[in-house]
Amino acid sequence: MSDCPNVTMREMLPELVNDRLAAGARAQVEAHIASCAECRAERELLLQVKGAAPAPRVDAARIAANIAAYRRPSVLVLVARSWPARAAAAVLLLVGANTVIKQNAASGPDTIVAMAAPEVAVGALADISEADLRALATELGTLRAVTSVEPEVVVPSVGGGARGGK
Amino acid sequence: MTDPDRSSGDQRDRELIAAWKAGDQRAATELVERHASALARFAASCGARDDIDELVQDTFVKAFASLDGFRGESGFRTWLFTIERRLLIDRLRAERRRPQSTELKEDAAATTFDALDGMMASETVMKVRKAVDRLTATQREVFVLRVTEGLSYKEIAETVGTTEGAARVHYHNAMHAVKEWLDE
Repeated sequence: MSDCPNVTMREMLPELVNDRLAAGARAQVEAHIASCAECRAERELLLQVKGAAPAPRVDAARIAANIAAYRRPSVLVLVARSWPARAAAAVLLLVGANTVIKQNAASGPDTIVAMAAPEVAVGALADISEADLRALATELGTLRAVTSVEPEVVVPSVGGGARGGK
Repeated sequence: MTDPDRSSGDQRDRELIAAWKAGDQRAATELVERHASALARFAASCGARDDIDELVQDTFVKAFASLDGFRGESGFRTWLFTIERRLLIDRLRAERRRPQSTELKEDAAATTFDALDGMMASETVMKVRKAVDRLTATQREVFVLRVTEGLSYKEIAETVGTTEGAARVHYHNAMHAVKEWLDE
């Protein structure tokens, strides 16, 4: 079964078989079908599909009996549904979220360490006596700065053992 | 180009909704009578089995409970199809999760028909039904809504949550597949 090249007419076939075309369009499609074997075949197929659709019975009266009477929403619900209320809620949410983010940023981990560091240092030095501090300062003054971090060259000697030197 | 009866049908739905909201319970009955059969057909074509009556009822109960959210941008029937489709998907998912249930493939939401139905249906009808059943779930939804219910691509797109363009492609792919299978 091939397709009719007139897409406009083909597109209206489902509406035709469901009686959903205005009178003018219906006359137009029917005139086309009269001279188009492909569209006649497709309309036939659509009618077959429509006719073959299962049609289970439903008890409309029973269904309708289960529908509760309409209850008008309360004023609070109506206000909450209105767009100014939703816009206000969105603004409040944004302001709140922004405040929380700023607070978190102000009390971030780096700041905590920076604030805690002097306390740790003071705490550590507080346990050392003044005499010990002086001794430590003297000892620090005697230390020579290391000028190079390159490893020493090791020259193997003939007589055995290794001697370090530069 | 479409039938003015369709918009007058939509207008009637709006009048009935307004009447129901004003306290006329008979308006709800008329709305159910106007759309229940289409919902049942769609459910059966999409794989619902024994509980179609219950599914249609749940659709209406849910729809009436949330009618204040119906803005009338689409037709009332299109809106009902959307609700029913979501309920049907939830049920099929629940069936899949049940260990004792048979495994469902994507296109196994296909309608199966009981023996009596099969005996009563003609060979042509059975052949057509089987061809429609072979479509993928999405193709079948689109095809059924277009052919059986006469929905526009815009209405179908709203119902199945896709674009008009995608709905059009699904429909034409489905049509080609059905034609091919019937020619076999």
